[in-house]
Amino acid sequence: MKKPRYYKEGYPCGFRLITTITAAFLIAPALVVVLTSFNSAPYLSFPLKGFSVQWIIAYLKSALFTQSFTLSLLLAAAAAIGALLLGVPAAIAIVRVRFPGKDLLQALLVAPLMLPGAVIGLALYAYYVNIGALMRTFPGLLVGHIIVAMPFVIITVVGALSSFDMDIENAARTLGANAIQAFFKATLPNIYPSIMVGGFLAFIYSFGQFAVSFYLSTPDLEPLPMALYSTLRFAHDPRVAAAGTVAVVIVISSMLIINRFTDLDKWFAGFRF
Amino acid sequence: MIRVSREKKTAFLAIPALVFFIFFFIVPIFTLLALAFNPKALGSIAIQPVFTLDNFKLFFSFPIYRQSLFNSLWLASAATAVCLLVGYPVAYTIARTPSKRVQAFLVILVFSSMQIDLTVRIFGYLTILGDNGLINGTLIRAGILSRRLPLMYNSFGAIVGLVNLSLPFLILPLIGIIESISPDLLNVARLLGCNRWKGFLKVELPLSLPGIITGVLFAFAISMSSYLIPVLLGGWGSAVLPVYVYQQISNQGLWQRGSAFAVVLLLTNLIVVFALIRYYSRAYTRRLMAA
Repeated sequence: MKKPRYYKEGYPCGFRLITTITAAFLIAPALVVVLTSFNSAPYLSFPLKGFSVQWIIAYLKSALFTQSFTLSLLLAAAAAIGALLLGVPAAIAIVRVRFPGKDLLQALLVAPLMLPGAVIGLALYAYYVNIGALMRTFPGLLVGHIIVAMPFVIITVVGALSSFDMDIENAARTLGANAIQAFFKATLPNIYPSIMVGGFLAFIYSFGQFAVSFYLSTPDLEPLPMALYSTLRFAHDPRVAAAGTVAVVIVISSMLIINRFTDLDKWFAGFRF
Repeated sequence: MIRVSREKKTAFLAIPALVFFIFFFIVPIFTLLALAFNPKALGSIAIQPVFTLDNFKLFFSFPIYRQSLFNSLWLASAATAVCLLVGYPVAYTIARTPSKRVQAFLVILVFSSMQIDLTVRIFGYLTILGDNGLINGTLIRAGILSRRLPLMYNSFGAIVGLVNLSLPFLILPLIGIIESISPDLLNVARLLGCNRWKGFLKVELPLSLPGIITGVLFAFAISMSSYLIPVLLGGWGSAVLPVYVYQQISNQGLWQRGSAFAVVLLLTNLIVVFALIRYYSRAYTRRLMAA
């Protein structure tokens, strides 16, 4: 198809320059971290002192990796699954049904993204202490992570469902499928990329989550970002850079994989306040 | 008929999430609220049946606390403004670029920067902005500067960090909205005598307002709540409200005061969010009426 003429005329002037600079700005810290982690000197210095994997190895051997990384991985996976199990049905109800307070419900489920994570963690901790359960436990921490991860599932799945053509599901029903069959055979195959993306975002957000863990974690239940913060607070430690490199590799490679089977730019498309 | 009954049943799907949020979000927030109105009790978090405004009075009677609220507001506003100025062109480029490759590259970049651990990104900024960091070190060695630029432990460092933190949340909602504006409208505008910039300002910018509002809300709320960035990149000169929440609780063991400070933070956030949404819906209705 021929592109409309305005496309060829490009963008309002200056946009391309701003975009290039911003892209560099966004990626600069990650780039520096990766370079530091492979530098043989403990600090980043140009020209680089030499290539070395000693910090990566030191990181992989330390408790940062063996305990905190594993804990974060487990926590993030559980949080993503929890957010999906609760969020996907809720998103379906929000998009498909008219009921009183539906906008309020959507606002409630997205609210954690707009509230200070540390305040949510603090509120949960105060609540746990007052009911005398869950404080300083893995489930207690997990609950906090599910709460802050939920908005990502709601935003992506509500977005996908609102732009989904209901005629497809209706056609399935006309052809004799019952409501549940129609949903699983006609709708779900069409929206599952968004569900996966929502779950993936929830996973990564929980994995990098600092704020909500702040009041909920304990020294022997310390997710990676907390552990990195404790390390970084007292000394400049190149193992933090190594941890960063591992995280950068995980994030970018999973982005590339996700990009294979869904349109990245559509992720937030259908969502409106 | 079948569809109506099915619709009603579908509503029950929201119940698990609703119950979960009532028990682990709404009730905890109310616990915090109750705690904030309790008289101070060193080291205790149990809710007492006595209510008082003391904690809030204390907050507003000490200049450093009021100043911290002001710092929070100013840093968050500045960061949001910068985000909008640089984020909009990025979202626009992503939405309108004819090359699928450029688009995928930029989106992956934005998403990755959002998902990379915040502590790690701050570590990167410490290396770039520090006194012996990449910028200062390079410029001094090249003889361009004789003295170090103060890039960190001030508002500048905090704003750089906050923009990095919240920019993706502003860009992403905008992309879809700009994409949904038909380029045909621009062609019409051109026929009516608008140049590229005028077409953008009169057609695309107003139509993308919902995305701008969503993005601004995210960016503001996220900057406002950040603890880590102001502490590690902003230094004590720009101590923000979350810092004093932490100080009251962890250093002094005064949960009631900390909770009250947290409630002040929460309310400020909510007021700004509601004001923006109201302003937006009113502006939107006015435009519809005019049209």
